[in-house]
Amino acid sequence: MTLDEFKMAIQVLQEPAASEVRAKYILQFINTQHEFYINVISKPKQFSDGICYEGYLWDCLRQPFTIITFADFIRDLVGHDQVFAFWDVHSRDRILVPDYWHFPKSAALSGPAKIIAENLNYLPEDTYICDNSFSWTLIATHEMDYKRNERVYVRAGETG
Amino acid sequence: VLPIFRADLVSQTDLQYTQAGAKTKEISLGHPPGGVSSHTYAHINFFTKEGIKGTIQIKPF
Repeated sequence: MTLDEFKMAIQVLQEPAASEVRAKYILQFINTQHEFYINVISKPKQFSDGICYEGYLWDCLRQPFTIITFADFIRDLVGHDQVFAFWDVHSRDRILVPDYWHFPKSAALSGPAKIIAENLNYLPEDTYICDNSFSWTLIATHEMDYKRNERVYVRAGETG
Repeated sequence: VLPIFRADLVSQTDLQYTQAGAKTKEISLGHPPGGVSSHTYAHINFFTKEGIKGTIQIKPF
């Protein structure tokens, strides 16, 4: 699927819907009392491409969570229907990959889980997925699991 | 082998980068202890010219 086809197959949530998804997600899954959240993530800065934060939401993930394989990540994901997907609001001053973001940084996506699963390559490496129950989440990170020779994926909440 | 290299100065890593043909993916302050990542120090995530991801520690600035 091309990027344009992917964009046609999902809905790009703009404000205020995107912020509402992020806020609900943070409330449910992120430890906002974590020192790193208080001192880093919750204090966005002005970068050359706008106001962004450093660090990753998954840095402050509430316990318990489970590190899972990519195969488990995909299997869990496609077991759901409609999902949200979003990513950390980072700056191009910190992530130096050209054309890294194919969607507005503060946007969120809403669409069929299968479509999202098949097009993760169009999303930032660090992507958060949940549905409107906000009872489970699957997270793709940029971290490498060198024993598995794949990136680190995380499951939290009721899934599994 | 976990491809982590340590250096005290970014300029030193720049030299290694150039020689190795690595491309910087991102610059990170480091992750908090006890979380998903063990990279609790300031670091650069990079790709080698072969496409392998690696992490190199840098001196915070």
